[in-house]
Amino acid sequence: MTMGQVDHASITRQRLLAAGVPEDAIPDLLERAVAIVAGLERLAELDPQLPEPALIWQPVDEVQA
Amino acid sequence: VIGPDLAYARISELAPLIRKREVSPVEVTDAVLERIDRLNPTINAYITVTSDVARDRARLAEREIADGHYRGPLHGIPYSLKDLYLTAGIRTTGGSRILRDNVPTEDSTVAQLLREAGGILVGKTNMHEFAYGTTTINPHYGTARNPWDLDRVTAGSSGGSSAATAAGLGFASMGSETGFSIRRPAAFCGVVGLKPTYGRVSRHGMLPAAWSLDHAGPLTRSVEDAALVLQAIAGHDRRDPASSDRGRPDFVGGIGHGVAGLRVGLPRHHYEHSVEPAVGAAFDAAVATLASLGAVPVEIRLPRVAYATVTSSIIMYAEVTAAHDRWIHERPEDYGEDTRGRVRLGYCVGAVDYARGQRMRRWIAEEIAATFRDVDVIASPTTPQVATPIAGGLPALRDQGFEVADGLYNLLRLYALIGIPAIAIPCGFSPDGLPISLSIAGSAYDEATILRVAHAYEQATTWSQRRPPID
Repeated sequence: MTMGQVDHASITRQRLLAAGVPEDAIPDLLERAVAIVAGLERLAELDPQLPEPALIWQPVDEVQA
Repeated sequence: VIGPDLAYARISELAPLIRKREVSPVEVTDAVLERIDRLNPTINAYITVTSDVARDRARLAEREIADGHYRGPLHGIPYSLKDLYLTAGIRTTGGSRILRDNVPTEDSTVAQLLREAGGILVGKTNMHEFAYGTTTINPHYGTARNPWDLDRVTAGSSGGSSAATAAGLGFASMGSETGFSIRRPAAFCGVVGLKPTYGRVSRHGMLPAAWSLDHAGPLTRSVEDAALVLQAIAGHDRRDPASSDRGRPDFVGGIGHGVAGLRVGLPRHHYEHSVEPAVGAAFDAAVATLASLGAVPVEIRLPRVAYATVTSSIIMYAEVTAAHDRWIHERPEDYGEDTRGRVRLGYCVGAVDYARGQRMRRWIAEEIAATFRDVDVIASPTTPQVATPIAGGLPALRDQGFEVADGLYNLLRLYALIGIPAIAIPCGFSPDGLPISLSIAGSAYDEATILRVAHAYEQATTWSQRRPPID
C-alpha cells in the first residue's frame, strides 16, 4: 500500500469490532463490508451540491396517549 | 361448494353479492379456509391460519348484514395480514424465531381498521425474516413458493401475501415495503401491489424495518380492489409520527375516468439495458396500450435517480441495524444467517454517511418533484426479470446496494425512498408462463391518478384474469 491509499479492510474491520460484531463473524462479512465502506466513501464528492436534509422530525406539541 | 371461480373473484364483484345476501360471509370464509388447508402446505403462504377467529367474524358479519348493518365493500371479505402487523390475541412473528411466541395484546391500526370495515382475517402471511430481505426464503417458517411455478421465489419481503393473493387464498393481503417489498412480490406473483404515499397509511403497530422508509399497502387481484382496501386503511393516526393529516380522499370514485391526455413519463435510460427481453417487450406493448387509450408518452431523464439505490441502502442499513441493535448482540444465534449478516453490515454505515444519505434523499426527491411538472405519472417495468429459481435465490442486490449506476433497481427503490405512491400491475407473461409487471408511480398524495392509469390499462387487457396452475 502506498501513501494516500486507504486500507478499507482495516477500517471496516475496526468499525465492525467497535460495534460489537464478534471477531469470528467478521471474515464472512468482510468482503461485502469493504464494498459498502468503499461505496460510501465515494459519495463524499457529492457534498457540495447536496441540500440540507428534509425535516425528518417534527416538534411534538401534545403528549401521545 | 365454492370452486376456483369464487376463490378468484374480485372484492368489487363479491361485495355486492354479500351485501344482497346472495353469498354468505360464512360460506366464503369456509371456502377460503378449505383452500388454504389444501394448498398452503405446498405454497407456504401462511405462517398462522386463524380459522376460529375467521369463522367467528364471518358469523358476526352474516348477522350484521342480515340485520341491515352493512359496513361497506370489505364486509364479509376474507383477507390476510403480513405477519408483522400486530394482532391482539394472535401471534405476530415478524417471520422470526425471536418472536415465535409473541402474542400482542392490541391490534395495529391497519388490523383495527380492517376489522372495523368488516373484513375477515384468515391468517398471517409468511415473509422474509423481519422484512429484511427479498426472497421469503425463511429459515424459521419455510420458503414461500410462487403459485405460477413452485420452484420459483415469490420475492419478498411480502412473499406470503403475494402468493396467497395469487393463489386465491384470500381476496386481499396487507403487505409492507421498505425498499420494494410490496411491488416486487406482486410482480413475481402476477397480482396488484400498491405502495401508497409515505404517511398515508398508519404504521402504528407494525414491526419496524426502517422507520423513515416503511410503508403499509395492499396486494390484491385488481386495481379497484387495491383502491377499496386503501379507502379503508388510509387516514391520519396520531400514534404514527409519520402519519399525514391530509385526510382520506376518495380513491375509488375517479378510477374509471380514463387516461386521455395524461402524460406518462418514460425514464428509458434506467431500464432499457437492464431488463430481460420478454420484460422489455411486454412493457413496450403496455406503453402502446396506454397510448391507444389516449395517454401521451413523454421521454424523461432522471440522472439523480442513479443514486436512489445507494441512498436507500444507507438509510435502510442504518435504521434497520439501529432497530435490531439489542437483539443482534444478545441473541445473534436466533437470527437466520442472511438477516444476521445484513444487520451486522449496517454497522458499516456511520453517522456522517447517514446524514449524507438524508441529504441525497432530498436532492433526488427535488428532481422527481420537478419532473412531475412535465408528466402526470412515471412508467417502467416493475422488475428487470421474472421470478427466479428458489435454488438460486435472488442475488442481484446482494452486493450492488452501494453501487451507483443507471438501472431499474433504482426505480424500484426510488418510490419508497422518497415516499411517492407506486403501483405494480400484471402486464404480460414470459415464454415460460411467469408474470411480468408494469410500474406506475405518481406524485406525492396522488394515489388517485396512478389508480386511474392502472385501472384503465387493466380494463384494456386480460393479464389480470389469468390464474396460476395450482387447481
